[in-house]
Formats: sequence, structure tokens, C-alpha cells
Amino acid sequence: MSATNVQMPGPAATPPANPRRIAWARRRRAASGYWAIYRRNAQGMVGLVVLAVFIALALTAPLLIDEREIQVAEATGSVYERPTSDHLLGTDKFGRDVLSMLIYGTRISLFVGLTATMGSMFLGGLVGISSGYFGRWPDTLLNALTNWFLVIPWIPLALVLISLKIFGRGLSSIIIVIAITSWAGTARLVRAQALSVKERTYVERAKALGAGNWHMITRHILPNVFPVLFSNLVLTVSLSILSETTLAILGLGDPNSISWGVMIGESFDEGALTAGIWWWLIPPGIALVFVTLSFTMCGYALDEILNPRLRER
Amino acid sequence: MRRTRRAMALMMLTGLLGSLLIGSAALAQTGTGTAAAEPVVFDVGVDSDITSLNPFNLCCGPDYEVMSLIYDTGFQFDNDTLEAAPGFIRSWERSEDSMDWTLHTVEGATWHDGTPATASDLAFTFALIADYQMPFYKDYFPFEPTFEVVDDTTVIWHSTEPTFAPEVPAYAPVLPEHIWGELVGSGDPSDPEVAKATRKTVKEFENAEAIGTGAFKLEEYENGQFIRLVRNENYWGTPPKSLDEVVFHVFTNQEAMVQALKGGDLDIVDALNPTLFNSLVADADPNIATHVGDGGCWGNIAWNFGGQKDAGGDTEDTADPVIHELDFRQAVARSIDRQEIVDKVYQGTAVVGYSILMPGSNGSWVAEIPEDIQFNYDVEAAKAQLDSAGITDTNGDGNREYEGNELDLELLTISDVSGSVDTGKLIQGYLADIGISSFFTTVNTNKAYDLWYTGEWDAYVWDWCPDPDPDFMLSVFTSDQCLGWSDGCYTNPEIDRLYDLQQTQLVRAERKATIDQMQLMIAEDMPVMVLNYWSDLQAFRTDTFTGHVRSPNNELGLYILGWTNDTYFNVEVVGADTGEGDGGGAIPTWVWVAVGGGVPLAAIVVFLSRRKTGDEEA
Amino acid sequence: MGTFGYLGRKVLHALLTLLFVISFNFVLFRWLPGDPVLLLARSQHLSREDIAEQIANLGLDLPLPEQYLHYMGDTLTGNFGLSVRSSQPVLDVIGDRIVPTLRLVGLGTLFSTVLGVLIGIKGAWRRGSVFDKTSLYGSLALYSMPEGWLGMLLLLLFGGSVFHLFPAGGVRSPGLEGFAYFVDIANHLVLPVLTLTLGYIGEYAIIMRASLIEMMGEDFVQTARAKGVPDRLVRRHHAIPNAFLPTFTLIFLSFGFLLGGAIVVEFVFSYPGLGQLSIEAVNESDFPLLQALFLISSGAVILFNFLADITYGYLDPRIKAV
Repeated sequence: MSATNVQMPGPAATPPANPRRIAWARRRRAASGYWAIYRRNAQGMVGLVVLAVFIALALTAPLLIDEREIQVAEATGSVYERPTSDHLLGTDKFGRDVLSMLIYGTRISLFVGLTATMGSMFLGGLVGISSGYFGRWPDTLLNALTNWFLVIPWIPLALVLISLKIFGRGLSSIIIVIAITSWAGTARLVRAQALSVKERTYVERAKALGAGNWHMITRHILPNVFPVLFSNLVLTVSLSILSETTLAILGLGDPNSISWGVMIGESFDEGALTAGIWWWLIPPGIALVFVTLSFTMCGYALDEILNPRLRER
Repeated sequence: MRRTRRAMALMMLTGLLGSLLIGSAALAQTGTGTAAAEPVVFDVGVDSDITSLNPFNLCCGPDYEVMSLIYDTGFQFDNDTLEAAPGFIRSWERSEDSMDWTLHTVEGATWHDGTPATASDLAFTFALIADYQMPFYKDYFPFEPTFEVVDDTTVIWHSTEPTFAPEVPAYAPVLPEHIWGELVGSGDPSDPEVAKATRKTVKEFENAEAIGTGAFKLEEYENGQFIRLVRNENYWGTPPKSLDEVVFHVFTNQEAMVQALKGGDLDIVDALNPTLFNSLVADADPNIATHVGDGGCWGNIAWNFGGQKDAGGDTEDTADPVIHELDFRQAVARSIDRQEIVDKVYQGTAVVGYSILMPGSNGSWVAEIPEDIQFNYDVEAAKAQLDSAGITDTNGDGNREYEGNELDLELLTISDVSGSVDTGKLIQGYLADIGISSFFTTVNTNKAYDLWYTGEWDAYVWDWCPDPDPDFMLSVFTSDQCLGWSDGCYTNPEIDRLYDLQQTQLVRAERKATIDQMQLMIAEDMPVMVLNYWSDLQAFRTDTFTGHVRSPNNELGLYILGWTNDTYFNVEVVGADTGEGDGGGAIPTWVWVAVGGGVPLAAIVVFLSRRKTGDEEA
Repeated sequence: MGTFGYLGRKVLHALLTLLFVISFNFVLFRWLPGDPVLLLARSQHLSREDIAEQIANLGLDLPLPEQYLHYMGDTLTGNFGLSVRSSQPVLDVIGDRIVPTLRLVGLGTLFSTVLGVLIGIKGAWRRGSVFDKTSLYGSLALYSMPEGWLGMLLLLLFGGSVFHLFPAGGVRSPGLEGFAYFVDIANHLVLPVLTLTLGYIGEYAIIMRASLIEMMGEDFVQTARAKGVPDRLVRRHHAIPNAFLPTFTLIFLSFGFLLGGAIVVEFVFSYPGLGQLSIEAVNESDFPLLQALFLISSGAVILFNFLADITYGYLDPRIKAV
């Protein structure tokens, strides 16, 4: 019961010979095959369920809380209220309800994690494929660039880029900075994969038959690189969320977007530990652990599926 | 494969060695006894490190405090009036025309290295600053003065214009000529290249020894950690009552600082944030006293009037033309609830303010701002004023327009200025209440300076910290400070005229009248809106030392980091406590011994036993 | 070719990368906006002329190509210029801070790798056991935890709010001598090192476990087992050594990055090392200092990369043949 078995096209359901449709049917079957395996992975399923809960929370947040309540100027509570039935997790220094901020923070943290990851994947994919596929001097140049980003200390670089507003202001600049400081690892992986795919006979044959670069990349390289990108993607999301938290703790979050990281950073900055205002500092951290853990668990589960040798026994 | 095993063994071995290292240190520690006489140490917690040991490269935080303990200044501040009091200069008299000032310096002083300190050191220092135009201090030496050394204790300050400058307490420390003289060289200071080279050499001098004449000597400086000063046994003046040492401990976050105060490792702390300060107040620990002192700065919104390019700037300003409307500025002021900002941003620890001069620093120079130009919080009045000025919402989208353009103001908030970002959040809400949309950009101070000069902003939430003498603060509002210290290139010919006038008024009452008038004009014309006077929140242990003195000596004065060093001279030990920090933490040495000895031992036992079982299985 | 060829290539590669890093750093710091000199301007009441003079002192007014030549020459001769903040040589400033960081990172790495690898081995060998499950989920949880927040929790628990066992910050207390001095330093190290260890132990355990599991599926391990070689010997002589290779490389690679990882820990525990210094340098736009810190940090990564390659080559003789 390995992944390759599932990919074998069944004889019954062969539609008219349209190559694209054949390919799609094959992929659909492969996907349902993967899902069958994934379902049996307890760790992956737990991660998925937890994740689903948080995503649902993020999507329905505007229904659950009044967005005005978490704005500094509109907050109704008094300063640093202890947890009560009115405010289940107390209030912060502006009298904002911490639970509302926590729920709203789900949106921001997930948004940052996902978009930054997309950006990182896009950059890493682009550089990795270009580098691996074209070879020669573009490869040399891109490889040097990748190496620089790999060895440069990312936190100081991110701090510099954000504090000097290189990419504008607000949340988007943080997302861009996280993407920019995290793509290099992906690029290296993708490059290696692209190199190996390029050497395969059928790809070489297609090239000999006069296939253009665009065709080569979209039809042959990309589909083969995609699985590597995908399992990498899920793991990168948790890293992106953690990166945002780190930046926020160091005081470079976006003060206008209440992410979990910003909550932790602000409360620590205010001295919440010593002042005993634990309800402002602890809950966002716990939420973070849950979300990143579930992404990590999903990621490892996917990794096991895409790397069948780990599945043995 | 044997090689890998060797690598693993190596790793384990390094692990053992690491623990052994700690362990042996701890073991050996048990052998040492305590020193004979414990010195009396005053442990001070501050929130930033000193910028450098070089008096020509100081900035903020504890810089001046440390410097003024090590060095004497010509004059000190009088702790009651903040006017000149005898320092290294013990007495002085001026000529009829106020052009020649005779300064009598202290007798029998020596530098920390034993060299005698004389009037010629004072003359050398003053000449270095004046001739080579050393930044910052040079402003205290106007009209190209020269300094004549008469004898070991007398210097004459010759000015080219009548001046009262020699009587203004300068921060400038008196420097030893035998050390700093070598840096100056023999070139002609009127040659700009020579002056420039000298400024560079002097500024880059490490000054690691920091030889001064002050009551304390530099003993030990650990970058980013602490600076340790010990009593100068040969101090010429009245020595400190009981302190043998003063240690400034640097804390980059407030948590650790307050923990250290609570745990008894610190005797006094400065610059607490409101949350922690209030928690200390709430704790009501009988051994910890809290104090709300004058923060020395006022928070404000400053408007950008544009015109940076005309003044020689590099970029076109983007200031909104509506800012030139007085009605707009006043209406915005009315929309802002100063008290709420104080309550929410500063947790009630700041004070609502109106004038650009503040009671703590400027004392009697502060003018009373009448209520009709305070522009207190009144949303309806604000809306009415905007309506009558024609700044209305004509297209019904809920947002006002000016000259056909939707108003959308860019507020600059500064991440490392306390309260700036939070104040900005509240102001954004106030503006929305009167139908003006805004967005804010948060930058750090450095980037803010950049934007400040380019004029690419509409308003910023920042602060000013006035000198005791009002001159500098007033100069900020003059026209020719555009691209200098002016916030947003505000121009008002009347302010310019009054500023020049007050500089020539040598009679205090006359000068005060002019300065009062300027304060009222600025309050009404609103180039900046003064929001609040900040507080400096301090706390100290009462079970270690007693006799702390506020500076200035009034209810807003500060116990440390004020205008004088009286606390260090006057505190006395309570009971038998020596004020010595216990090194933090309460892990007794025997625990370290146990860990240091036990862990490696256990590891060895485990390692050996595993090998044995392994062999058996094999 | 032989050993020397392999070594030579690796040295060359490391040097080239370093050269690239130095050049890219130059581009980065010239491209960045913001004038480092402006920061001190307001508090020191500097005029525009004073500011221009300081910019000239830093050599920032020269044409770019000339700046680049100066910069390369200076960097290669070990001259990193003056810190904007203190006007002192950058290397002196860094020298003051490097020892605390080395202590912190060194001990953190030591504990996290040794413990992580041991946990990983045990977990993989007893796959599915209670130990494996607990350690795996524990590792995953630690791996998912923001280091800074973990540090805050430890600070809350042991730094004074709940139990006052260790100092809440700093490197050492002043005025101590002899052995009290060492004990004091150790006391200050406990919480930061614990944070760093817990922060990284999960990652190492997971890596070791995964690579050992992978190795146990390999034919030669299966063959050895089938031949009736006792499990313990299979593990010791076949599986672990081979699984150890990739883990070892990964761990080596992560050494360099730990320097960066220490930033948050240093921040939370007010521990004035290189991490704290880089935060200060960023806040003050102290570009000469930042430039040197970047170089040191990247240099450490390159160095450990190189060492990993060399050690790998030494441990795995097949490499040399390639």
C-alpha cells in the first residue's frame, strides 16, 4: 500500500483520449489515495481538526465579536480588569477585552502565516526553478543570492527592513519581510529537485522535440517540484507565524493589527509578568502553540506520505 | 563506524566537561570567606546604558548623571532655584558692562590620577569648547569668548558682547588639560579643517580612564551591563555621607529591573513604566517607596506647515493645506480628550498640560494659559468650528473635505517614544469622531528624523524636553529653525520678534513678560498642541538607605537623574544593611556543588552500566 | 584528488561565499534609507553643519564605488570603522559583548544537542512506546513554542514572580571576585540557557528520530537483523552510525544560526550579548556596527557549514572518493 500503487490508472474509467483530462483524472485519484493514507495518520488528523477549529474561528470572528470593542478609542472595560464573567480573560491596559483580542488575533496570525508562506514559496519556487532549470550564469548568480540569504542572520535583517519601512507600513510590510527572509531554504530544495527532474529521460526527450521553456517548466518541472513545495509549505506556515511573534516580541510588530505576537510583545513590554497581569500574556502564547503545533503535525504527516520510506512498519 | 562512535563519545565527553567546569567553580567557591569590610554600595537601576565615557559624546539616559559624578562642572544647579550655584567655580564677579567675568576656581583640588587641578584646566576646557566649536556645549559659550588665566585659581572670561552666559550653569565638565591637551594639537582653531580634525579626534577619544575631579571615580565599566563608581578619597568638597560605591545597572527590559528592586538587588530605580509603577503602588510593600516626579518632557501633536523644500530641503513636503487653517487646528484640539490620554496611555501618571514650558523644568517661567485658549475637549464645539470654517462633509460620505479634497491625515507615531503610538491610536479615534479620517505610520526615532526633514507627514505625536532656561524651547518656534529644530516649519513674525527681544532682556521680570506673551501666542496659534507633561516614575527601597533628596527640591523633583546629585551625597545606610546586592537569585552554593559534582558522576555511572549491559547482550 | 582536493574545494567555496556576503552587505547598507547620524542630533542639539560633518567622518559622503573600495579594503584588513553611537571602534564594542553570547550559545547548543540526540535515538528505537510518544509530542510542542514566550514563562516562574531562584536578567553582578564571580555568572546563565536548550532540543530530537527510523528501513540494517545479529549491536554498529551522519550535519549547520536565535533570549533576559547589541544597533541605525554584526553572524554560519562538510568527509570516507 504505497503511494505508487494508488497512482496506477484503473482500466474502467478511461474517458475519451484527452491528455489533459487523463492527467486530471490521474491527479484526482492520486489525491484521494493520499487522503486515504492521511486519514489513517492519527497525528495528522489531530492537527487537521485543531487547525479546522482555528480556521473556523478566524472566519467567523466578525460574527463572534464586535470589532469596535478591540479598538483603543472604543474600549468599554476599565484598565486591567481581572478575568470575570463579563470579561472571561480580563482586559488590557486600554480596557479592551482580552478574549475578543485573542479571537480577533486568530485572523491576523493565520493571515500573516499563510500569506507570508505563499510569498516565501513563490519566491523560493521562482528562484529555485529558474536556477535549476536554466543553469549557467543565472544559476551562479541566483545561487550566490540564495547563499547570502541562507547565511545572513534573519532577525537583524528583518528588524532593519521593518524599522526602516523599506516595504511601506503596517502588516503588509511584516508579511513581505518574513517572506523575503525565509525563501532561501525553499529555493535550495526546489533547485535540487528541478535539477534532478531536468536529467530524467522523458524531460530530455521533450526538450529534444523542441518544447519551449514555458512548456517545459509548467508541464514537466513544476508538477514534479510541487510535492516538495507542498510539504515544505505546511511546515513553513508555523515558522512564519513564529517569525511574526518573534518580531512582535522584539517590538516590531504592527501596532495596529492585534496579532497574538503583538499581544505577547505589548504585555511583556508593559511588565505584565511582574505586575501579575498573566491573563494578557499567557493565553496568546497557548493559542500560538496550538496553531503552530497543528501545522507542524499536519506537515510531518504529509511528509511521511510524500516520503514513503518513513511510513514503513 | 568506529569513527562515529568516537564522535559520540566526544560529544558526551564535552557535555561532562561542561558540567564539570561549572561544578568545579562552585566547589571551589565554598572555600572563600567574605571580605573584611563590606563597602557601602548604592545600586541604581536605569533603563539604558551610557552612550560612551567621552563627555563630548553623550546623549540621554544616565549619561549626564554618571558624568557629573565623575567630573565637576563649572557651576552646579542650585537645588531650590535651578540657578547657578558654586561648583568647580567657587565665586565670580562681573564687570560693569557684563563683558568680563572673573571666575575663582576651587583651591587644592586634584584629578583622580593625583595631578593638581587648577584654573588653567578650566580655561583649557572652556577654550576647547569655544574655539573648536564642540557640538552641544558650544551654545553655552556665545560671542567668541577668550579665557585668561590669572593664577592657579582665577580665570577671566572676556566676551565680545555683554552677556550673562558665564552664569548659566553649563553641563560642560571640567577636563584635565594634561590628558585632553594631547588630543588638541597646536594647529590654529580658526582654520576650519584644523577645527574639524580636532573635533573628530576629541569625539573619538575613548576616555577609558575618565579622569575627573568629581566625588566618585570610575572603577569598572562593562558595556551594556553596569558602570561602577567608587568614592574619591581626595575629593575637594564635602564627601558623600556614607556611600563607598555607586553602581548603575543597565536593564533593557522593565521586568528584570523591578524584580531586582523587589529582590533587594537594587536600591533605587528610574523610568518605570506606568503599569509596573502602579503595581508597585498597589503592592504597598512597606520597604519600597514610590515617587511620581517630573518627567522633564511634554507630549504633543505637532503640525507640519510645509515649506521644507523652500528652506533648502531635498524633497517636496506632503503637508495637507488644511493645516494652515487656524480653525482646523483649534477644532482638532477641541476634539482631543487630554485627560483620557493621560488616563489610558499613561495610566494616570502624566499631567494634562497647555504651555510649551513646564513646571518641573522651567519653574516660574511657565505662564498660566487662560481657559479660553486651552481648547478643552468638546466634540460639538469642534464640529461647529469646522462647519463655520467651511471644512464640511459636502458629499455625504461621513468624512470632511477641504477645498474639494477628502481629508485623510498622516499621523507619524514613534515606536521608541513612550506613549506615542498609544496616543496616536486614541487621536485617530478622536479625529474620526469629528469626521476626519487619518492613518498613522509608526517609525523609530531615527526614521522619524528622516521624515521630519523631508516634510512627508501631516502631524506627529512626539515630545520636547525643555532646558531650565526657556531660550532653547522658544527658539524651536522661530522661522529660521525650519530644517533646524522647528517641528513643521512654523512661521510667525511676531514670535520671531519676541524671541529676539527676550534674548536682549537682562532684567528677569521684563524677559518673563515677553516669554509669557510668547507662550500664550503659541497656545492660541497651535503650531503644536501640548497634550501632557510626563512624569518620571521612580521607586526606591527604604530598608537599605535613607535620606534621599529630590532635585529640584520640590514635590516634582527627582531622586536620581535630576538636576543635582544630592541623593548620592546624602543617603545613609539603614541599620546594618550594607546595600550589597546578593548577586541575584537565591540558589545557594551547595546546590551548585551538588549539580556540578552529581551530574557528571551520575552520567559516568549510567554510561558505564550501559556499556556493561551492552556487552552482556553481545 | 584525494583529501587535499576535497578540502581545497571546500575552502575555496567558503571563501567565495564570504566574499559574496561582504559585497552584498555593502549593497544592503548603502541601499537602506535613514541617516545613522540623525539619531543623536536632537538630543545633542546638533546643527545641520554638525550632522554633515559627522556623515563625512563616517565616510558616507564619498561616491559609491569609492566607498565600496574603501569598505572592501577596510573589511579585509579587519577595520570595521566606528560605531555611530559611541564613536568607538566597532570591534571594541563587539569584543565587549561577544563572550557572554558565546557562553550562552555554547552551553545552550551543548545541552540541546546532547539531550536531543539521545532522546531521538531512544524514541526511534522504541518506536511507538510510551517514551517515544511522550518525547515526540513533547518535542513537537517545544518546537512549536515561540522561544521568547517560553523565556517569559520561565522568567515568570523562576525569576521572581513565583519563585525567586535566579536573577531576572544581566550577565553578572559587579564587585565579585574569585569563585563567587563564577557562581554568580552561572546563576545568571541558568534561565537563558534553559530557554535556549528547551527551544532547540525538540528540533534535534525530531531530526535524530526521523533519520534513525529511516535508516532502520534500509536494506543493510534489515539484512543484519535477518542474519540474527542482536538488536543492540545492529543499533550500535549499523543504524545509529549511519543515522548519525545527517543529524550531525544538520546540528552543525544550526550552530551558526543559534547566534541569531539567541537574540530573543537575550532580549527577554536583558542579557547584554551580541543579540542585544544587534537590537540596539538596529534601533539606533548604527550601520557600521550592524554591518560588522551581520558579517560575524554570516561568517559563523559559513564556518560551521565548512566544518560540517569537513567533518562529514572525515566521518564518511565515501565522500572523498567523489
